[in-house]
Amino acid sequence: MTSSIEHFEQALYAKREKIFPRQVHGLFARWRLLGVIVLMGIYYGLPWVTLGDRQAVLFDLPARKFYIFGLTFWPQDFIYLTSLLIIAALALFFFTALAGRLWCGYACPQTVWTEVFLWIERKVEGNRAQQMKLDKSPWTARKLLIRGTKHFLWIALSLWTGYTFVGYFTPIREFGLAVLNLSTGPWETFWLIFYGFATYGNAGWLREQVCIYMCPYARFQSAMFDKDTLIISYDADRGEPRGSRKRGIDPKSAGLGDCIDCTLCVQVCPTGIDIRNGLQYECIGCSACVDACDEVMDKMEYSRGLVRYTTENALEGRPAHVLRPRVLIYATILVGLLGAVGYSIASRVPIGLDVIRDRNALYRETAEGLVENVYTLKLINMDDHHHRFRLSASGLEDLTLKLDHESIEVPAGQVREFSARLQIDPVDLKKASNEVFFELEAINNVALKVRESARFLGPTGSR
Amino acid sequence: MSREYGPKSQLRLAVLWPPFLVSGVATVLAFVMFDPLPLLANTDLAALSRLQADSIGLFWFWLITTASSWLTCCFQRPPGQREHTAVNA
Repeated sequence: MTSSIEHFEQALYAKREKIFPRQVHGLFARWRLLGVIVLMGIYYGLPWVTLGDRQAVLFDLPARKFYIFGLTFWPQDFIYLTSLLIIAALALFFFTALAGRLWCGYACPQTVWTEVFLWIERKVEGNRAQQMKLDKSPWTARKLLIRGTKHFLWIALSLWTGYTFVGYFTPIREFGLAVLNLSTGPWETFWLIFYGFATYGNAGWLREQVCIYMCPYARFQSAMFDKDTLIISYDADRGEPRGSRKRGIDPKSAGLGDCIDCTLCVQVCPTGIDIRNGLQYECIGCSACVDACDEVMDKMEYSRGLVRYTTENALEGRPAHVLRPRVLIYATILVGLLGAVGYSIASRVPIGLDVIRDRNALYRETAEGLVENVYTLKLINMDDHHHRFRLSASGLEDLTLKLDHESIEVPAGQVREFSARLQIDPVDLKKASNEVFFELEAINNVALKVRESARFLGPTGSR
Repeated sequence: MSREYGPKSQLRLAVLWPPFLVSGVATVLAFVMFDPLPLLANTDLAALSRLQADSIGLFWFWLITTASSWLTCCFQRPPGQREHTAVNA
């Protein structure tokens, strides 16, 4: 009987040779490690940060309020979320045009979590050779124990990841207590397990298959490439003809290039490709092969950079251009958008006013012969302080605003609904439909004011 | 190096996976814009909490987008071709 793991590998998606990436040391590996530590630190740490008496970053779905440090966003601030998504996409375009798949190699959660899972795998199973030997060996008690330990650690980390994920949407400390008491809500439990399972599956089992088959970015990123985009490439002119040789021999005298064909670049590759076959879409630009080859070149006392970050133009001996139209265009739009969003958030007025005209009657006439329109106003105080507001109306001459109360009080983070009536002498009414404005101002803070337009309807023309 | 593909499983994931990505984004956008509670207030689903409604919304989006994705796979094949080998080519 074939082992269940082998069967899984075969059936899940595509027939695949299992990849055991060899550990790599070097400059870029250190950069990636830094990325892993910083990003993981942010992901696992952020929900535990408190600001005042609440979680600093919390997307409170039940209350529909989104806390990001000092700022509280409401669904009315939808535009910021949209802008954020557009900025993220543009930033991805910009960095891809400039430096290729930086995102894939250093910052993508798939890469980052896979690194952590690989680290656990190495701690439990040993180095690449030991892992391969264990994989081929029959199912002994020892193998069961080692594999069991690995999966136990993977699952534990995955569940912690799922727990952290839910902690962004529900206060993480209370959720922790609920988990300990086994009293979590059904959907929280579902998301904890779902996200945990996704982490376990993606970083433990699927790994490079996510990048090759499932990632949409991997499919369209080449559209952002040009001949000046930074890529990882093997210098075939320098390396070929490849071949093994004794150390100290002058390669030219033996009719060889600089590549000693040690295949370390293949062994370290997390997607299992041979960089020497040229640019391939499986390459996630992680530069493990660069580090591996540099180490070998050092040992051979050849100069580094047989596999290196370079550009197509540079490889062909043409001058490289960093500032190209597409880079400049992406950069300009990106900076413009960032500036606009930054300004807009900085000058955001944390109150909102929605005006809804009474739908039942277009207008009515009062006993005094005035034309009256009725509105429902919704006042949202998105600020962290209690405020008292004054309302006024303008837009037509001699327009009178009738309210049940002089001023409207709204506690911090609350919504108040009230009705308002506008009255006017029909003599002053020139058109059937007129634009009027409601102006709302906080009595204790004049900087807090908004103006909202509405329609005022009346009989056609004046009498 | 040639790879052999399992067309069936690949087709299944190709139908299911992109809809999941899209419905994730759609869910966030939709429920930030619309509060599910007033929308459901006069229906049989009025008892749902926001978290429940949002979660069901995700799966609802996933169902719809999967239907669209599945149709794309169906139409991708030239008419008249009988066997299920859309991705096998």
